[in-house]
Amino acid sequence: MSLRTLPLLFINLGGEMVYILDQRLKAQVIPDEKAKKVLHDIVSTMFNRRFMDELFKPQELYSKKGLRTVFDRLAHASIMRLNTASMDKLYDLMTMAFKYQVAMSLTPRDVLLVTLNHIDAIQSFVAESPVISGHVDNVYQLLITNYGKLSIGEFQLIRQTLLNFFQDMHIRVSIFLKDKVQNSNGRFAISTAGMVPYGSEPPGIIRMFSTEGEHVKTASFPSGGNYTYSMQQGSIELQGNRCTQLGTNMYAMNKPFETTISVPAPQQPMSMDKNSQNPLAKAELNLLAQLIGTLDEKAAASSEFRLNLFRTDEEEEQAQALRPADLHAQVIQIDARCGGMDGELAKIMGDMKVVEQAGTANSSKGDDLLNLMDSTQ
Amino acid sequence: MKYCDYPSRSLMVMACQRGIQVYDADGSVMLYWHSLVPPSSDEVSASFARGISTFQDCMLCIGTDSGNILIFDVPTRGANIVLREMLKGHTAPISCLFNKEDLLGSGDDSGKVVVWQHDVDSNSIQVLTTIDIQGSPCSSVLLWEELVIVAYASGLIRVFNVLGRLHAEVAAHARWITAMDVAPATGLVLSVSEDSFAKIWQLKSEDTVEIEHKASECVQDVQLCGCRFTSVNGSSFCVTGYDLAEVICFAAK
Repeated sequence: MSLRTLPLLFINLGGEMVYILDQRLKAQVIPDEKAKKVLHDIVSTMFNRRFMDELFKPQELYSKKGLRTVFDRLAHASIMRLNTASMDKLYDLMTMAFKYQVAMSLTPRDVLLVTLNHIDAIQSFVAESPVISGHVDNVYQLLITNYGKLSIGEFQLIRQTLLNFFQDMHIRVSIFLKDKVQNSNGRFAISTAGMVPYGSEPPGIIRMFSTEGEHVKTASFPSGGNYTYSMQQGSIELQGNRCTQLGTNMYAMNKPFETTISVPAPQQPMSMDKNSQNPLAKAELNLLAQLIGTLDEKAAASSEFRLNLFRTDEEEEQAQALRPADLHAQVIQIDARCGGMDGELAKIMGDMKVVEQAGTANSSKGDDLLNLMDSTQ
Repeated sequence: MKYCDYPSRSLMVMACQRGIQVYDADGSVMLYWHSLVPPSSDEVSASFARGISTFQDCMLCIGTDSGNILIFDVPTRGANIVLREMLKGHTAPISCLFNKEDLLGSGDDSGKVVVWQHDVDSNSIQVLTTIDIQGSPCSSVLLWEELVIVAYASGLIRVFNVLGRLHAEVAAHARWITAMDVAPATGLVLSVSEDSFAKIWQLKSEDTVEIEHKASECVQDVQLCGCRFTSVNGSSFCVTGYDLAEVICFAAK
């Protein structure tokens, strides 16, 4: 499995989160100023330079629980509050959307184009803030440096690592069901028509060669589908044409989206998995916790609002009631006292302050969050 | 993972991140472990093993991400598996291996294919042919009669002879070809792809070398990842797919 997968997973899921939150903020008619603050806070935390530098180091993927915790905290990086049912729904939508984008990529390299589509869109959400915009540019440069010259084989390994991570997730998303992109059994529809990857040939031709190497005979056969050539290769330039719709904002058309779990998943035993032993993963989660912190309480009390991922409060309450009780107890055990923590990273964390705009969080409140993340069982 | 059948035993071999594990036939006892990284290293390593094949009924071949192919001697019984040599013919990660008698075919992520030959007298393995067509990773390689059949990530299948001459090229699939198999008795070739199709081809190698399309099966909405003929003459086969818990079997009417 590839060790370069984590940044792509994090950035793309973060991008989907921003799309969904933007749509819900509009649907709930949250005042512009508050909505903007939420998105700006989340993007600036997500793309914090130190955190990105750590993220881009070669490492294994976080566990599913670990990644879910990261996004739980990220979603609460601002004045917005989500209850657990809404957070579940947000995460389900994010993961199924990215799974779809990875599975349907024409070529493995398209995973990079999907990421750049997300980056392009995030840039447009934060264009008013030069500081945050600078962070997004920095991430674009990191992506090009780290992924711009990878071979097809390396991209396929990354894509397989991602598909492995998403294996057996079959949550039905109404926006996908409506567009016939997903079947009622949760599987994505694979079309037998459309473009072949750039540089490939539509199936249906057999060419025979003589002993001298000359092309002497051509035969054709039914390809079973209806395929055409790709005319252009997606560009990774800053303003380039990505040539794929995967990774663009599918909620921009204001369609409603619901999720239903297609098959009740058997409850997994809540054991420590190997990634919670990974010192780098723990250190990064701690760093993120420090960056997010909690808001100055006075400011928070007046600005906080609750976002609902469902259509009505009643729906949300019903979903909350249906959640299995023991899910509330799922906390990642992260022991920051262990000696495995990287000394360099501890020094970075000690120096960290989130100073983007006046009145935002600083790390003194981060301890509360750290305590939350260290469970006592 | 692959079951490797030898005249006197079967082994279950797993090519993993960081190393290779060899088990007995029912997977209950680990007989041998080969690490691709130095044992003292705790650091994250990108090394992996990929591509497994028997060779000449007494050796085990495993490809690695460095491009080297590890050759192990396998005894008729017991756990005394020994690394005998490393074949260095590739610089890109190995993607697939295939053995037929004294020939071993290897493909890599750059698109290069090497055919190796084992000389029984000198007990040495040498390069017979190199087929270096860059541009698209080689995802599967087969050997049948005097032919080398190579599947590529671009959806192409090419048929060469063992000396490297190109006989035919097929635009076979619309996506990455993930696996192939051959029925040695009849020259039927099976290819599966992420485009959800399984296709059957007939190879002919009498006067001229030809390849002909025989059948296509679409497994709706499934990106196929693996395939195998389940009969020697190729009249039945099975496929597997991403996110699919079932193995789907087909048989000729």
